[in-house]
Parts: sequence; structure tokens; C-alpha cells
Amino acid sequence: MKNSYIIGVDIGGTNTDAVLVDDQNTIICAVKTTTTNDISIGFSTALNNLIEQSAIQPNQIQSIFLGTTHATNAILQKKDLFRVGVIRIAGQRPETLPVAFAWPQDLKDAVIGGVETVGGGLECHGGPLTSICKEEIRRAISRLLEKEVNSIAVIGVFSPLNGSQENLVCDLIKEVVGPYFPISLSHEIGGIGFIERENSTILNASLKRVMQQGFCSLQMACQALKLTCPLMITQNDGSLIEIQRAIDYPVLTISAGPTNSFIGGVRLAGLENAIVVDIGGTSTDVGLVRKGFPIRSLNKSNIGGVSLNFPMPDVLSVALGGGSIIRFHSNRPLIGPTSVAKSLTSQALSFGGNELTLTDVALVMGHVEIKDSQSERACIDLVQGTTIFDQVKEKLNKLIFKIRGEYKDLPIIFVGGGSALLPPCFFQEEYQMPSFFNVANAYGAALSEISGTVDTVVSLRNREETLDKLYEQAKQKAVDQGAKKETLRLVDQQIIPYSYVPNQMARVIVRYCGKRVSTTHK
Amino acid sequence: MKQLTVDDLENLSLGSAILGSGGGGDPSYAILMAKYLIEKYGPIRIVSVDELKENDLIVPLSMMGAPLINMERLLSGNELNILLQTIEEKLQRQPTVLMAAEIGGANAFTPLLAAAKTGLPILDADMIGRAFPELQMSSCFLKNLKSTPAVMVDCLGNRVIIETSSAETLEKIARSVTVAMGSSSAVGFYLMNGKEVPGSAVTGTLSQALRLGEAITAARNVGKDPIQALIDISDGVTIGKGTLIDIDQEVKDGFLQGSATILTHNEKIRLFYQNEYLLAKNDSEILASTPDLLVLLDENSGTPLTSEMLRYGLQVTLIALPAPEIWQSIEGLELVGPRVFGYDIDYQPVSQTTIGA
Repeated sequence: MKNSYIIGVDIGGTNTDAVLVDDQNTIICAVKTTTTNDISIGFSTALNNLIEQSAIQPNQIQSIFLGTTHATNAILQKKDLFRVGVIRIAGQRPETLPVAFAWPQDLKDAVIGGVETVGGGLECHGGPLTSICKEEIRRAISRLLEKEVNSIAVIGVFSPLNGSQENLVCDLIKEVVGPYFPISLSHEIGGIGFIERENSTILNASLKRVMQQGFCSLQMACQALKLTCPLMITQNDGSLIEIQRAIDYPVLTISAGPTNSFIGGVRLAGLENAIVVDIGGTSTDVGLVRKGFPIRSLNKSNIGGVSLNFPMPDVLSVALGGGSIIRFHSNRPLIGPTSVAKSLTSQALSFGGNELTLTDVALVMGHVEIKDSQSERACIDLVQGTTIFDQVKEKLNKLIFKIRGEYKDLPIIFVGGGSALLPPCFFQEEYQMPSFFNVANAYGAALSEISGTVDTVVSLRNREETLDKLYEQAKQKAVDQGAKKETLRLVDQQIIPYSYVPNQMARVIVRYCGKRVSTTHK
Repeated sequence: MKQLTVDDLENLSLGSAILGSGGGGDPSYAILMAKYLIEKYGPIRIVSVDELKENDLIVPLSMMGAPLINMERLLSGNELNILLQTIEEKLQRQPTVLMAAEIGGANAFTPLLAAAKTGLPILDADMIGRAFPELQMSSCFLKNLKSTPAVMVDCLGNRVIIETSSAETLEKIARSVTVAMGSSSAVGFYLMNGKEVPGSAVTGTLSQALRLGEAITAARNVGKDPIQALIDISDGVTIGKGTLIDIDQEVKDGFLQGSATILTHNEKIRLFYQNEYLLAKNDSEILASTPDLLVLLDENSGTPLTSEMLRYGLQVTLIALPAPEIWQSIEGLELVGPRVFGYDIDYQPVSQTTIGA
């Protein structure tokens, strides 16, 4: 029996979307449901609907790939977070930047349970900064445990070069509290830049309970639906990790959203290079995809006011979406920036509410039809409607012009629910709205591959040889995660030389991506 | 007396990155540290050169080495205190005023870290008026001041006192000490008496950095073009606007060397750099060169881009600001002109007006 179907799922703040994709990456079926507080209920409904509508047996499904904003939401809502004990392995004992210094105070209060600094750490060439003392570490651990922390984060200076000091601390913690105590090690999360790596490691430690509950409930929902295939999670760069790694390192899944929607968008249009415009309920995000991957942002990623070390796609945003509220100032319409967001079907005029939204205008103009809507309640005429959509077009064109730069010939792909509101005449020549545009996120998840990233500091004296070694390391990481070796290709490389340092030391980041080994059962 | 508060840090960061002309490192950690220390110990006093007393002991401070090291091996916070203490022991005099050796880049923040903790004021001046890669590329060198005794301290508190006959020798020795200190050190050199400062330092550069930063943030806040605002207050000129299409770089003799190509609507501009941006040319002519400040900015936000941040596809605007007057002199050009960096061309000022003093 053929079992080459993949399910892609996106659990967002408002909607849970799912698509069923065949081995040619064609969408067989797509569903949309509402996200529930217990994310597994919406997930279960979506999968159930998908299986019913497509009449495919659960055992024909090879894998489920899932992207979710669950971790982000947990941090924004400060819900079920662990109190974290932080151990810095830093022989210079820095007093210039305290742990969580730039965090929002309420998040800091909720998360930071205690901080200890111990000797050790590395220099940029990998040698020891100061020596490490087990007795000192044991004392630090017991002080943290006295403060009743639920989880410990360990961050060593230059640990991405060599994780053995962090591993030693991990072993010493386990000696005291047993093998199941939640511990997060910064070299497992990676990235040069002490503060961002520390922030990521602490957030990871604090997310362990809520994400374990979340991911385990999704696994149970799969079992209940007799879906025995692997459930894999998309991480920040859009590639996949095993669910166990997502449970151990939940922070790696924190910002997969825009990456999935941009990749999904270009691939829905059957392209590799394009500009993707994702129009949601409140805002519109525009990104540029080259060779199948979104281009990266210059800015550090930031979740809930905490700067993290994950590459984020370069996104231009404007407050424009289906729920954008429209007000008139001396007869001139102004769109947004406020939106009725999730409450569209209670607050928009056409649904009995009191706010004129972009959706109401689209209904009046006849761009869309929505069941149970009464567009006659929106008292605007076609002339006003045309003026409003001229403004919408102008805003979109401005964003597109900005991001396009020199890439004059790139097609523009519209995705997201709000794209349906645009006038049909808008879509011509290079402006396209592919079918399944409103589930681009889930489709992006379904297309995800496996990646292996190395981010370290090396001497580039023997440049070719050293780079080759790093390529092999990154490839091996990808293979360890389940990638098919022959499909691996280099998708990202950055070399950031350390000036004034001998031996041509440089920070090198390489990332390989490849297809997942299919676990075909006969 | 003027004060520097937490609210000034973002402007200082933008302004010092502009004066860094691509070099001087990423100030993102320095700004956090300064914020923490000012919140803890209070605002920092700023004094101008004419407020100095004859017997003041002025200590120019900077970090030396790879700025990226300090983004992993955070400063301990004791380096500069130990440095000042060592100077006091050596000279049997207490330092009374601190200053930035180099206003361009992250080093604009270095004296703040010490000033916050010790309560000493900082001087509205530096020794370069921008960023340059070597210790002797300084206004005090031009004025024949003594560069030593110099003191170097690392994050573990190791310290070295250096006495040399020339600034070039100091540069050589300090470079090796820095490597032994894990490729990053704090250094104090060109110690001055109050009466030596006028005519030796580049004055007003701290306020200038703040003004440049303010111009950008003010324009951003009202939705105006930040780059135009910057040009308006700095006598700058736009060299070109476009997309970075080619970045070619390597580390040679300790410096990040390379070139970036900007594709504009009608030409290709090549921007050459050695940490700092030093030369811009198109197919037919030189557009600007050191010592004028070549500043590469993110086209939309006006954020200055250091040479470490260059990446394919960035949308950029390249502008040039006039060099401080001292560097436009014959002696100045012999020290920091295009030929010093291996470009066989004559310096042509981008503007007849000058900044700094």
C-alpha cells in the first residue's frame, strides 16, 4: 500500500490549518479550524477532518510536520513557565551584564529563580579561560536547589567551540537530583553571542514543562487517530526536528511561522524565487525568497522583549489586514492600524458589529462572498470602496517596491486569508494568488526538510580544509537528525572574520538542508 | 555641566557607528553595559575641553582587539578600575577626567563604563574624530605627545605597563599583549595634563556623535528620511544608493580587508575597506576616500552598517562626511591618507566644509 502522504500542520494563535500532501508535493486536501486552549483538540479536529475528507487511511500517512506558535504564546502569556536557575561558566565573573538584564521585568520575575557564576569557560581559540572546580560547581548547584528552581540553564563562555564543560556541570546536577531533572545546555542551542545564547537557554529551560505537555498531547492525539507515523516539528529556520528534540529544546521551535508561510507561498506558486505577501487579520508581512529560502534579517530576533540568537527572515510589515478598522477623516478614509482581529465575526458591521473593516468593504465591492454576512449594514458606496482599495493597493505596492530592490523581475505571491479581499483585477501579470493561498503556513510545514547547522569559531589558515571539515560536521548533524545524505545541499554560509586576532580566526556559520529519509513500512 | 543619561545611549550608539565609518565594532553589548551601569550608579558628567584645569590628569581609554570577543567573553567590569588604579600607582597622581581614545564605534562607550563606576567625568573629545585601526593614528601623535606610559588590562585582571620611545612601537607591543590577553584588552595611553589637551585632542566629538544620532532618531520618529536628516546636519554628500551584490573579504595582517559592490540604478560602486571603509570608486573615478568618513547605511532605517555586517542583498545608501580638519593637513594625510592604506591615489575632499576642530 502506498504510504507517501505527508500532513503539514500550522497551529497559530487563531487558526489551526492542515494540508495533506502527496509525494509530488501536491495538496490533496486542506482544512482550517479554530485553535483551542488545549492545542491538541484543534489539532485533532483538523487531522480528523483531513482524513475524513480525503478518505485516506491513517497508515498511508508517512509523517506529520508541524509548526506552532505555542512556545511564543506561552512566553507572551507567562503561562506554566518553570522557574529557572542559571549557571554561568565564566572565569572572568562578569559584573557588566547581569542575567536577563534587558528582559521585561514581569517575565524576569516569572522566570529567573537564581543565578550562580562559576570558574571556567573558554578563550576564542578553544583553550581554557580559567580552570574549572567541581566543588565550586556543586556548591552553586545546591544554592540554586535551595531556591527551589524547577529547571537549570547552563551557559559557558565560548561553549559552542566545545561543550564538555557544560556537559560536566550537567553530570554534576544529575548526581544531586537524578537523571530526570530538566537541564538546558547552551551549546546544544548554539550560536556565538553570550547574551542571546543565554537568553535562549533560559527561555528553553522555562518552557520545558508547558512544551512537553503540549507536544505530548499532540502525540496522544495522533495515537487516538491511529496515526502511528512520526510527528516532527519545524524549528526556527524552517527545518524539522524530532519531537523528542523539540521537547528537550522547545525554544528551537519558537519562531517558525514567517519562514513556513514564505516557503509555502513560493512553492504553492511552483517557484523558487519570489516575493511573498502574507495578508492576515491584523497585519501584512512581506518577504523575499531566493532559491527556496527566505532572506535573513539584519536584526536580532526578539520574542516577548527578549533578544534571541535565531536567524529570522527579513520581514517588512504594515498594519493592514482583513480586520483592519476603517475611519473617515474629513471624508478621507484611513485604514488601520487597529484591527478587530479574532473578533471579525462579532465586531465587523457585516456580522452585526459596529466597526467598518476592510472585510466589510470587500463584501460591498463584491470581491468576496462570505456566508451569513450582511454587507448592506456597511453603509459605504462603491466610490468610497474604490478609494479605500486604491489605498490598500498603494500600501502593498510600496512594501513590494521596498523589498524588491534590484530584483525587478520577481513575481509577487499573495497568501493568507486577507488576500482574498483584494479586487480580482489586482492579480495580473506578476501578481499571483495561488490556490490554497490561505493555508500557505501549513503547506510550508509539509515541505520542510532536515537541516544541520554549525556555528563556531575556527582558524581559517587552511581555509579550504577547515571549511570542508565544517561542511562535513554540518552534514553529519543533518544526517543524525534523519536527513537523506545524497539530498543535502549548502543553504547558508557566513564567515565573519575576527579582526586583530592572529591565525585568521573567524566565526563561521554553515547550514545544510536535505530531504527526510522516508521510513517506508511494507 | 552636561550629563549623559540612559536616554542618550541609543543616539550615542547610532552617532558613534556613523563616525566609526564601518569600523569600531558592534556596540550592541556596550550599550547594554552602559545602560546597566548608569542605572546602577547614576548619570555621567560630561566636561568640555575649556572646563579642564591645568593639573587635570586625563586618561584616554579604549578596548583593543576583536570587538566580537567581548560578545562572548563579557567584560568583567573590573578592567578599567584596575587600569586607572595602575596609572595612579605609576604616576602617584589620581586620574581626574576620562575620555574616549576613539569616538567611532563601540569604543565611544568604553570610558562610560569606567566613568559610571568611578564617578569621574568624561571629556567631550577624542583623539581621532572617527575610527582608525592603529594606536598611532591619533591627533596626539600629530602633536608629538608622549604615548606612554600605557597600561593594558584583561578581563581576568592581568595588567601590563608599557613604556616605549614611540607610538609605533607601542602599537606593535600592545598588539602582541592583546593577543596574549585572549585577543581583547583594555588600554589607556596618551595620558595628558589639562593644559596639553587643547590643540591635541579632537574636541566636541562626543556631542557631535550625540547630535548625529539625534538627527536619525528624530527623523524616524516623524516618518522623515533619516539619511537625509543626517546629511543635512553633517555637510555630508550622498555617494550612491542601491543593493549590495558582491562581498569579497579576508583577514590580512589582523585587519578585515575586502570590497563590497553596490549596484545602483546606473553604475556599480566598489567600496574598499580595512575594518573601516576607506575608498569608494566607480568604473571611471574615485568618489571618496579616507580620511573623509565613508558611511554605509541601511536604506530604510538609516542604521549604520559595520564592515562585519555586510551581506548580499542589503539595500544601502553610501554617504561621505568631511574628515576632521587635522586629517586634511599634509601631516594628517601622511598618517591616515589613502596611500597609507595602499591606495595609490590623492585625497580629494568630498566637501569644502569641515567638521570637528
